Amino acid sequence: MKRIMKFCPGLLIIALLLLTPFASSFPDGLEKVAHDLGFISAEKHIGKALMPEYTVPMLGDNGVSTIIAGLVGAGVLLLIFWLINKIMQLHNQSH
Amino acid sequence: MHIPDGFLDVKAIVMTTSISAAVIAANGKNIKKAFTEQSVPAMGMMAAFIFVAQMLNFPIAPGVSGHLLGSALVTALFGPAAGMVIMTTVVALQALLFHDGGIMVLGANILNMAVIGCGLAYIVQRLPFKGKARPVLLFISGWLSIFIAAFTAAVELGISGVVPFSVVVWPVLIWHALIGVIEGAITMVTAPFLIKILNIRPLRKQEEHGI
Repeated sequence: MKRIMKFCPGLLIIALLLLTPFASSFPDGLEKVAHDLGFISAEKHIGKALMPEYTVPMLGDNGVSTIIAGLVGAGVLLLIFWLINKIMQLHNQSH
Repeated sequence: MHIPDGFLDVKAIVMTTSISAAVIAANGKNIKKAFTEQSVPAMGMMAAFIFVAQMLNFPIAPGVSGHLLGSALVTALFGPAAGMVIMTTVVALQALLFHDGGIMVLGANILNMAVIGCGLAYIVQRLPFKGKARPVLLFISGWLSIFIAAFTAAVELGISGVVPFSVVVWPVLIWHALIGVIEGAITMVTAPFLIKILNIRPLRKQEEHGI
């Protein structure tokens, strides 16, 4: 049972990832207000994002592209916290 | 909820970035404590969870959607200091890799979603109610975190002069009052479940036992 529990968080994240292509494409609360009040035109993009709008440019705008973009983002976050953990362990060992 | 580049002027960017940096710096000790006493890999899992959950926009009215913020959720699991770090990491990654939220206005988005979101959620969650009132507190912390984060976003837009505050504040608050209901419900339902599958001791229990 404990071993099954260990994989639960990962499986949950994968399940959510598979749902991302079905997310609503309506603008969110703030964007909607910006459209309604006409200040959306003030929006600028500075620099070039690697995966704008949560899609991989090479793959176009489709479900697979969104899932892969999400997978990369989630992977980078896991990596960042894994690194923090490793650095903290090394730091503790040296004391 | 994510403010894009171009919406805020230099004045608002400098103000919000300095407040965010000051609050995070002032909490250095609390952050260190949270990271040494709690499971950092579990925090990573939650960061990934929040990131993916934020991609899942749900319609709240014809032509308007909302998505989970997650500040109240991570605060319920790891406390406000670690929560702030988790939310900051997520928001920064969204701006840098996905252009969701601007790069120049990152400090403002961190202030709204990480600093105010987690701080406020913590204040609500630590109110001395027990038993059946706990889930209600979780719901309120979720609702209030997104509602007030939206309010401060409106203040920042007003300060920048891109749109008058009195014009922007009501529509922003109305939409986020609705999104907040979903936020509160998700926080209330998933917090106990996530605590179980991540095999962590929630901060509230640690504080009650004086650990």
